[in-house]
Amino acid sequence: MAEPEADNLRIQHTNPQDVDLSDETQDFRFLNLFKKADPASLPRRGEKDFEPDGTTLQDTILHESRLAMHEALLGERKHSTKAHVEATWRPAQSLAQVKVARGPHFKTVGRADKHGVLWLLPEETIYLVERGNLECWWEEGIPMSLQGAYASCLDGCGGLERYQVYAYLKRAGYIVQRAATFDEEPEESASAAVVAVQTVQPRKGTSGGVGLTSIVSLAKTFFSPALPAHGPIIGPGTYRSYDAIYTRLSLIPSHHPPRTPTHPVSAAAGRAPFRVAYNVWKPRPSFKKSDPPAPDFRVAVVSARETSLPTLRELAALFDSVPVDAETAAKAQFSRLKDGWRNVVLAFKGAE
Amino acid sequence: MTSSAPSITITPADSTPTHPAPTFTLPTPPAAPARYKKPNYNVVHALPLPLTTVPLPPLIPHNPLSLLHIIIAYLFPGTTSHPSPLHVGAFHASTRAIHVTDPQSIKAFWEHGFFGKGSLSRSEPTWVIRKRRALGVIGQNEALTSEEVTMRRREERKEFKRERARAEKERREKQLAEEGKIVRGPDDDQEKEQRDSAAAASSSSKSITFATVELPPRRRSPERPVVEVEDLEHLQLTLEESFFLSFGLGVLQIKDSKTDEIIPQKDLLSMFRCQSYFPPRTPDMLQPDDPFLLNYVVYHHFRSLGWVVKSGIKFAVDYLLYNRGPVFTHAEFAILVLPAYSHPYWDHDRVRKEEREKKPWHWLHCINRVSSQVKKTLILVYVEVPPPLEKTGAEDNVPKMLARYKVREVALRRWLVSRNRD
Repeated sequence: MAEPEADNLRIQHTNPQDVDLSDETQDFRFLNLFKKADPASLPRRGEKDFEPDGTTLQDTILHESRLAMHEALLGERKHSTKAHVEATWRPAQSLAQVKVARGPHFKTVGRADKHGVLWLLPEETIYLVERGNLECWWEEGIPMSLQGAYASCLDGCGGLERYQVYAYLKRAGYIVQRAATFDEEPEESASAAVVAVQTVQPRKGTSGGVGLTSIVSLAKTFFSPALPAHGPIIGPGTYRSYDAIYTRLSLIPSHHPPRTPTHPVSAAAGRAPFRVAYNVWKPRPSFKKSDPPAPDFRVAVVSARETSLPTLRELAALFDSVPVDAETAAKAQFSRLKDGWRNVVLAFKGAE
Repeated sequence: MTSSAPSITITPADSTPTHPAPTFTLPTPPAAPARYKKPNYNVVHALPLPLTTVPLPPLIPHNPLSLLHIIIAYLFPGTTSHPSPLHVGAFHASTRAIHVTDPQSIKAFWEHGFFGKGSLSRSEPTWVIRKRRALGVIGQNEALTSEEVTMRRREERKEFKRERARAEKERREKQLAEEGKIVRGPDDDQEKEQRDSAAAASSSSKSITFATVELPPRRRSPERPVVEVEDLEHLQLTLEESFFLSFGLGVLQIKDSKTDEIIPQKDLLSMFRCQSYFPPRTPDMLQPDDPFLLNYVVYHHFRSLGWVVKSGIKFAVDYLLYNRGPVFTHAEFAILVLPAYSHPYWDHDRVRKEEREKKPWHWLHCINRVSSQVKKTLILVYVEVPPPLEKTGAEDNVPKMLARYKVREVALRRWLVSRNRD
């Protein structure tokens, strides 16, 4: 009985993780509603209409949808004098120097030095210029074009792929900052550290005193008969419980992740691309960029065309560079198994 | 697969004393219940493995005699955990499987640990039930098999989709008529009538086909000949399952289907490893990363943790993990076995390092998409392959050899930007 009828239930409780809105054909008329109605309310999505079926009604609906999309794209983009921000790109530091910071963006981007000057990282510069929140200037006093911003800043972003992931997450509303492991370490020290990474760690006794566990293990080695060379592992005889059977069956050493929060081994962080590039937070009003809380997600950026699945060694190094999720221990067994003890998001960039 | 086509043997009731033909007139039975009551799976599948355990009697502190009971039970165990005689399966190289034909063994392997698969069924060997229903021996809703439940559900869904398409078409036609693009005259009603009658005809023809299968009068009538359907189905065990049952649990003996002789326990592993290649290899060509060894290490690992491990080929993965078994819940986890060549011995092996270890992302995305569609968490199981053993005879100790493989699990999940923001 591989599939009892219970699977109908599962269809109703669709996991929200598996519904990807971007997979669906959009009805852009909702943008019209957005414009006319109260701007504070979110647009609602209508029934899907994407195919002419011969009726005039459907043709009208599709035409309206197309118009709505064009209207939205034609919308004028304005710089208000109040929120106008200017910055100068300093190629020597590979940073942009902000004249006067205004607007809500600076709650999460930029960093002030000890003189009180606000500096923008290259990816923050491109993002704000592209968004129309920042006017960037060359050092020579010439305004910088968007192309100019890309040309001068992209190298400092760690490449186009990383910038695209950064901008995508920012546009989606997340708070994104560079992780400590953003920059690659010099080659020698990194490769030396990788060799030291253990891919499979032995199980550690968690409960009971050290003395007790060692006595128990000693007793086990003495009293449990050696396993026969060709099996069966469960030899003929009388067994009192399934626990005894399962214990005897466990032959294969497996990895046991650390259960208590440990300090991440940042020196062990693997080579690019399998190292954490960004720390990501869900949008929250109380965020302080000078004192950020523990990130909600850690993102590594991977090119889908140029790399393959990480090897165990690369993956082990990546996991060792992130701390143990403090919430996991309190979860139910199945969510513990599903969510794991340490998490990394891999962002893929396919060629386009 | 053997070449003989399955056939049904129908024997008259007289020759089978276990099923005497009824000679008295039965009262008209009440209408069959709409829904067949499921067997109590908690009782049927109480044992997680085909081994029985004999717990010691409880110790009652104020009753010193209970201690005596325990001592006696400990020293003189009445029954052993293993079945006697052991189950027997026949190895067939043509299907790369172990065939189990004894009904008692089939029952034990399926009910206690969900081992194997019926050769004529999707999972549980239920071919004989479906055949008996087709011949009218049992009722339409009696002992429904998983295949039949799925078929009925699919039929319902198909019907729903037909209905929806019809409603959509009607709405569109109504709109077209309103816009004056098609003429809806008096003949339109006629047309509708025709359509309705056509639909009625199609549904009635459908019920006719059902009726031919149903054969209801035969079942109720006292003169109905009781047919005995011979069960032509056998249980197929994969190589990993059979090795676990024989090497791990010691409940299965494997004989060669050609010679009909029991294969010695010490020859099993190398035979299965050779057979995991196609064409089968000779024992001197075996490698530490034989497909059989990699799969068996993972199979044994999850079985020893108490999971019910079944093949995952239908979801493009290597294994599926069930919490208690397929009759209770759906599989929670889908397992992909990935070899890892972390040991320095493999550093210069280009074929293994470049081809086997480096799988492309699009391959993984396909599998992950399928797994999330069927609501399973994908687990990548990395198996660290040890270097080959020196020829010192150490390979003869199978438990020690298996303990050189190491396993690490990594759960994989899609992360959607729009769904993680709160």
